[in-house]
Amino acid sequence: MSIRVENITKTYGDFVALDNVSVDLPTGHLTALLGPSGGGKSTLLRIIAGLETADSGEVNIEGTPATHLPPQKRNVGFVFQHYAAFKHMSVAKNIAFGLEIRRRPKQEIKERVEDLLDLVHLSQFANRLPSQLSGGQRQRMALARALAVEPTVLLLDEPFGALDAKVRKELREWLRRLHDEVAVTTVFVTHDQEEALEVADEIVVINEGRIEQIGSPDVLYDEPANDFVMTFLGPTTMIDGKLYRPHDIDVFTHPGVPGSLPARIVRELRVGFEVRLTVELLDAAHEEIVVTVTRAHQRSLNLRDGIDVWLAPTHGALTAVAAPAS
Amino acid sequence: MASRSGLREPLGVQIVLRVVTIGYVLALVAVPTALVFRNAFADGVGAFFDALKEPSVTHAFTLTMEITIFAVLINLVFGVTMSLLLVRYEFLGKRLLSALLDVPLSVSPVVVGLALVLVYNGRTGWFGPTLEGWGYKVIFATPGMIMATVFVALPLVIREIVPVLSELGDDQEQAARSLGANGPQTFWRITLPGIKWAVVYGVVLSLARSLGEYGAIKVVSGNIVNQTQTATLVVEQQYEGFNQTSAYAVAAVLAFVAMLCLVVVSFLRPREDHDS
Repeated sequence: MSIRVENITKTYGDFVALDNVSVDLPTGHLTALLGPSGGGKSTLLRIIAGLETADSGEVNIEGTPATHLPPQKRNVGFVFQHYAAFKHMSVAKNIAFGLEIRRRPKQEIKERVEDLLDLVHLSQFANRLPSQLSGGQRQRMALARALAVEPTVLLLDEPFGALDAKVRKELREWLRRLHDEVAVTTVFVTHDQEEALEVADEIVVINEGRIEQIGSPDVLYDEPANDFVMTFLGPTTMIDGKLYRPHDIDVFTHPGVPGSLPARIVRELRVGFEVRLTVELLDAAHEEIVVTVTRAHQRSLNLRDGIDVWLAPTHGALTAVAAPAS
Repeated sequence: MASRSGLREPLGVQIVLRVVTIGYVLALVAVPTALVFRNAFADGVGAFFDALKEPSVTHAFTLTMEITIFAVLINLVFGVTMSLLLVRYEFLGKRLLSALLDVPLSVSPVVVGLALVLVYNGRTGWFGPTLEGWGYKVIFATPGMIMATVFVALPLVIREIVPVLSELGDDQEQAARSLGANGPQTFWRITLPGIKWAVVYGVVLSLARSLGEYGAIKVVSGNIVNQTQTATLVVEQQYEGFNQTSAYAVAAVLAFVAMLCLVVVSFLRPREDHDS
């Protein structure tokens, strides 16, 4: 086990950021800490890095007790959401910083910086100042800077949060490939479930200072431990007190399918290949729910506003029992 | 100023505003200062330099320089440390401390001088007799004059650095820490380069302020010619003694150096903006 966190509790005044959290983050993996803002995931990452101290609990990095080590002795690479670029230093100097602090020979630093510039595709920007780079380039520089010291673990705090959607998508694919290449134990914090599902080997879902579930993206998506995990990982719709994915509900234009419920389409919203239908259940409560069908399916059944339909969960559909309304 | 962007005052109002502003600055600042220089050279350039060569005048300038250098150095070290403390750390009484640091700006320098005399004078002061017993004379000597100057110029460095330091944030410092830098390394390599223009600006301001200090120095120094008389005190004494040329010559030098400081600062300002 690379990083072992045991019984960490952290409070800010009355606010409990982390409540007795324990987790093992395996060596060589790319792990995502996923959860809503203010759920405690960034706090956990900062405690692992030593940038924040826990009220109680232990942190162990590669077998070394790290609870009371200052950040500079933990040998972790940390990448910040807003890059934290050293503004007065060139890109190359930024990357060389950790090596210069460690008083490595000049020649070695030069070679290592060149390798890293190459790795993050910034070779032609070596002598620029961070202010002359785009957001995506700055974050790649920050990554190279963190990797330069050959950290035991690489910690990324919402690394793509400040970037626009297109660059974010590019960078996370790039991070996945980079991880396969460099294979350093990596933990990153995100509130974007798509990012976590796409990039991570393992996801730790954190909410209100507690861990909701730990598992691979498949396990989390297919076997959510509770309704929170299911709701957080994707859209849900509720029928009969059970949560379903909106695309896991079959729509029929005729009655008679066992277990099907009568309903009426009240709105349709087309988003690319999918069509989101808002339907009103024709039972006592007249609840409105959302089901998703493909554009082709909609066309073949001629689904449109105002027509009556019958809904039944797809065979083998994933469900979770909804929590009682609070 | 920019808050009215898009809206322009009518031309008449603009002209009136400009005339009032320019007239105000001319009447209060430009004309009087220019007259000091004219009077300094009224008896010719030779008389001007002769007045400056007077032994009591050269002594006063040397003393002023000595006091200024010490005061600026002390304020530099203390100002940077205090700014770091105020911005980066949370502690009990922080707001009180922050308010106390502005006292020198609001209290008259004469009062500052009197306060120092009360505490450090050799006969009845709190610490004075003890210090004099050890051979350190504070009041009516250079140490007291440095203390008075430090006190008066104290907020200038801090008030320059604090906003820059808070805007800089501690992201870069944390990054440096995570890359293996210890406290001093982080300070010298990351924090100080980040605030260097604010530091330079604060130093120049406190330099100008220290050169021109009069009230506190007058009380603390005793104003002894060739011993504890600084340049500003010379101006006052020569003027009172109807030695006009000498008074104006020294005043002109003081004004010139202060203006030089302002010119240096105005050259630094745009670079500071450009950096951020």
